[in-house]
Amino acid sequence: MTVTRFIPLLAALLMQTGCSAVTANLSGMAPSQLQLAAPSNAPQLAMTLENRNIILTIAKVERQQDVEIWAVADGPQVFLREGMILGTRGFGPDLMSAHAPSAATLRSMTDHSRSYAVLDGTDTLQTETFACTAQPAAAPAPALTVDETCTSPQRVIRNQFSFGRSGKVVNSRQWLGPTAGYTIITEKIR
Amino acid sequence: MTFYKTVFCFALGAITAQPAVAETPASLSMNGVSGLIDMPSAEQQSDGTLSIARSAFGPTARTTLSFQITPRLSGSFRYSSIKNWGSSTAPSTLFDRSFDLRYQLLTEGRYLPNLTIGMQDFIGTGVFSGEYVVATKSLGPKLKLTAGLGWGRLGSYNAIGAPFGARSLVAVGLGGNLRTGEWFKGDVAPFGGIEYVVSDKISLKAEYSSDIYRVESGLRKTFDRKTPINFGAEYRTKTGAKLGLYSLYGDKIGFTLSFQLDPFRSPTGGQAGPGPLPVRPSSAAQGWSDATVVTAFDLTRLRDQTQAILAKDGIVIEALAVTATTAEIRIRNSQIDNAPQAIGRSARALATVMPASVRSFEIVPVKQGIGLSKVVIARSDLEDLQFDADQAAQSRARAQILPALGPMPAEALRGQGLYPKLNYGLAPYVATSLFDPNAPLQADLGLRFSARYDIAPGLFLSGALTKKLAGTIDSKRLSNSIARHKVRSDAALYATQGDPALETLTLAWYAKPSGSLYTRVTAGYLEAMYAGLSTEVLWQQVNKPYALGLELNYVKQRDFDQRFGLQSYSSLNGHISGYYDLRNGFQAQLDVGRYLAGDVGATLSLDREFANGMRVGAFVTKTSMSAKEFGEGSFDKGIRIDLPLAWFLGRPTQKTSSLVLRPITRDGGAKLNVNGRLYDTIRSNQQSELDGAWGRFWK
Repeated sequence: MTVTRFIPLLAALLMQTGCSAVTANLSGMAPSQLQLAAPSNAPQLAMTLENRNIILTIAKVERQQDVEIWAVADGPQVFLREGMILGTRGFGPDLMSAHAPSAATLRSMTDHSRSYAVLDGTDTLQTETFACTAQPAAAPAPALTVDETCTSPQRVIRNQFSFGRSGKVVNSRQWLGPTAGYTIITEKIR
Repeated sequence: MTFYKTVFCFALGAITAQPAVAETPASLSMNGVSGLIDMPSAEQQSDGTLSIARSAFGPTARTTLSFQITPRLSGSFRYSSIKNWGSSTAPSTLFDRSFDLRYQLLTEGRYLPNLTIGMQDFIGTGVFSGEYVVATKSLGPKLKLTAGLGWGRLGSYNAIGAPFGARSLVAVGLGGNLRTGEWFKGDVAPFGGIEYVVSDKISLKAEYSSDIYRVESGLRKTFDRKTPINFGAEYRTKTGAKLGLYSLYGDKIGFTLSFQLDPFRSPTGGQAGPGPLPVRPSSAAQGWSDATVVTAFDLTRLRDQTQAILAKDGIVIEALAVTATTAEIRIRNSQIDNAPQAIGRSARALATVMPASVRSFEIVPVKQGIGLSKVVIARSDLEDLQFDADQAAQSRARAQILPALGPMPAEALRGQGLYPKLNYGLAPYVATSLFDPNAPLQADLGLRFSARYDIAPGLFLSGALTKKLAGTIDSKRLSNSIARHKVRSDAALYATQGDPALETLTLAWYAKPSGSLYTRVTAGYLEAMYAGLSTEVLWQQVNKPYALGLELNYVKQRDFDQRFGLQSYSSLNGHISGYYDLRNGFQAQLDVGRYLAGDVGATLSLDREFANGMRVGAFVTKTSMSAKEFGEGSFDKGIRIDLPLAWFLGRPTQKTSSLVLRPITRDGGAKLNVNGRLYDTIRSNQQSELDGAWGRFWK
C-alpha cells in the first residue's frame, strides 16, 4: 500500500479560475506596471491574433534605440522596428526574438533571411531560420504592398506589408511563430 | 485503478490544448502502449510523451501509464484486474501490476518499416508476460499495416514453432524478479492488423490477435474467446482525448479512454502575463548623477524602488548592496517557475533603478536564507541585447555564474520586514492509497493548515496540520508485512487515526559554510510517521554537473494519531548520495546507506527531466532485507512524476504535482521523508540547470 501525499492538483485548480484560456488572461490581468503605461494621447494600433480570433488595441509606450515598445493596456508587449515585429511578451506563445529585414530591404524586394526564436513546451528556445523573397502583392493595392515569402525546412510562411507615403509600414500581416500563428497590425484612426 | 490526479492533469492539459499545435500521435492499444487494439504496433509516441490509458472488456480492466523515455525507448507501468478469477463458487478478482519495455530498432523510411522489439510484463508475476517483434509501415497518410511475431502470451494462438527452445516456467515466487530465462522462448505466433485513418478525428482498426487467453477464457471461463479477430473505431476529441470502442474476440465489447501529454507542446503555448520592464539606457535611470558614494538614505530608496518593481513578480529582496560600480542583490523568488527569468526580471529592475555609474549587476538567488549562486550581468549587455535576435545565447555567454560566497557585505541593506516573519495558509489536500488488493484506489480529501515563522536567514520554524473531510482510506485493509518492524506498511493506520493530524512541526537551520558546501539541520516532527533529528551536508560546485551529499538521521516512530506521542521504535539511518546531471536530459542519483528498518543497501534513481521542471523517473532499492522478509515484490521500486502546474496553467506558479507510484510499499528500502533536502533546494540555480532554462531569461 502506498500513501502518497502531494500538493493536490485538484486543490490548486479549485483556487484557480479559468484554467488557461489566454484570452481570459489578456482581459483579466492586473493593471500593468506604472512604468509601462502609455500616455493617453499615445499612438494606437489594432492587433488581430488570427489563431485566437481576438483584436487588441496596442499603444506606443516608449522607444528604446530604434525599437518601439507597444503594449496592451493589461501588459502584453510587442516590439516593432520600422513596423517589423521583433518580439512579443506576455501573450503566452511569445516570439522571444527575431532577425527581421529592414523596411528598405522589403521595399527594394531583395532576397534576405529571417529567424524566429520561440520557446517550446519545455522552455527550451527553438530558433527557426528562413530564406525569404519579396515581391509586389498579388492583389492590387492602393499603396506599395509587398508579399514576403519565407521558407524553412519545416514550413513556408507569408508576411505582407503595406507601406505609407513616408516609406513606413502602415499595415501588415506577420507570422509570430508556430503556435501563435499570424497577427494583423493595422493603423487605428483616433 | 485510476491515477486520479494524473488523469486530471492530463484531462486539463488536453482540454486546454490548442488545436493549432495538435498533431495526431500514434494510437494506443488496450494495453496502453503504441498499438492496434489488443496487439502492439511498432510505432513510438513523440519523445517525452506521457500517456495514460484505461481500457476494459468483459472481466478485464487495465490502466497503463507509459512514458517515451527516449525517441526509441519507452516504458509502461500497468495495473490490471480480472474479475471472476476464482472458482465459480468463490469468485474473486485478480489484481496484477506489470511493467513493459519497448525499443524501436528501425525507424520508418521510404521502404523500411518501423521495427520494434518489446517485452510485456517482464518483471513481476508474469500473468501478462509476452515478448514481440513487430513492424509497422504506413502506406500513404491514411493506412498503416502492422505485422509481428509474439512469444509467451502473444505466441499462444496458432503458433508456428518454437525457434529458441521451450519456455520453461520460471518460479514466480514473490515477484519482482526479471524472468530472463523465459524471454523469447517457447511458441511463436504471428499477429497483425491495419489502421485506417478516416480523418484527424476518426480511425478504424482491425487485427488478428495471437493471444488465446488460455487462462481467462480456457481455464477460468471469464469470457468466451470465439475468434482471433478484433475490430473497432477510435474517436479523437478536439481536446486530444481518445476514445476507442471495439468488438473483442467475437464475444465482448471493449473500450479504451486515453490521454497523451507531450511536454514539448504546452496546452497554453507559453506563459501569459504582464511583459517585463524594458531595459532603459543607464543615462535615463532615475536622473541620478554618477554617484561615487551611495549613502544609507540612497540605498534605502534604491532598495524600495527595486522592490516595488519586483513585487509584481513575487520576488523579494533579501538584501541589497550598492557601490559606485556594482549592485549585488539577493533575491527570493517565490512565484516564477523558472530561475533565469527571475534573474532576468531582477536585472531589468536594477537597470531601471540603479545610478548610471553602476555597471555590473550581481544577482544571488536565495532559498531558505542561503545564496545558491551568483549571476553577474553587465548592464551594457542588457542594453545591447534586449532586442537582439540571438539575445538568449549571447546573454548567457556574457553572464558569469559564480559561487555565492558567504553572507552579504556588511554595508548591505536587508529587505524590509523579512525577519522575523510569520506566514500561514490554508489549502485543500488529497492523500491517496494505491494498489491495495481489495481496494486499489483509496483517497482522502481534507484541509491543510500550514505555517512558517522565519526567525533569521536560514532559520525557521514550520509546521502543518491536516483535517480530513472525506475519504475512503481504511485502516482494516492492512498489508501483512513480516518485516522485523513495520516502518512504512502501517501507512493506513496513520491515515485513519491521524484526524486531525500534526503532519510536521520542525525547526530547520540551513547554512553555507563555503562557496560549495551546504548544511541542513531539521529537528522535530519531520513527517507523518517519524520525529527526530535530520542532518545533511552537500558539496556542490556551482559549475559542476555532480554533487555529493551525506545525510544522517536519528528518528523515533510517531504514534498513529500523529499528535505529539512517540512509539518505542527508533532508527539511526542515513545515506551517502551521489548526484550526476548527465546533461542529456537525464539525472542519476545513487544513495548508499542504512534505511529505516535498519537494512543496508543502495537506491539508484534515473530521471528524465525537462527545463520546465517536468520530471519522470524510476528508482530501485536493493537492501540487505531478504525478498522473503520484504514480502510481495521482493524489493522496493517505483516511478515518480513531477508535473509543474505552471505548464498546465500558463501562468507563473512554483506549485508542482508530484506522484510517487510504487507497485507495493513494504518496509525494506524505506527512507525518511524529510522536507527541504539540500539538493532539491539548490539545484535549480546551479549552472547546468540555469543553462538549460536560460531561454526564459528575457521573458
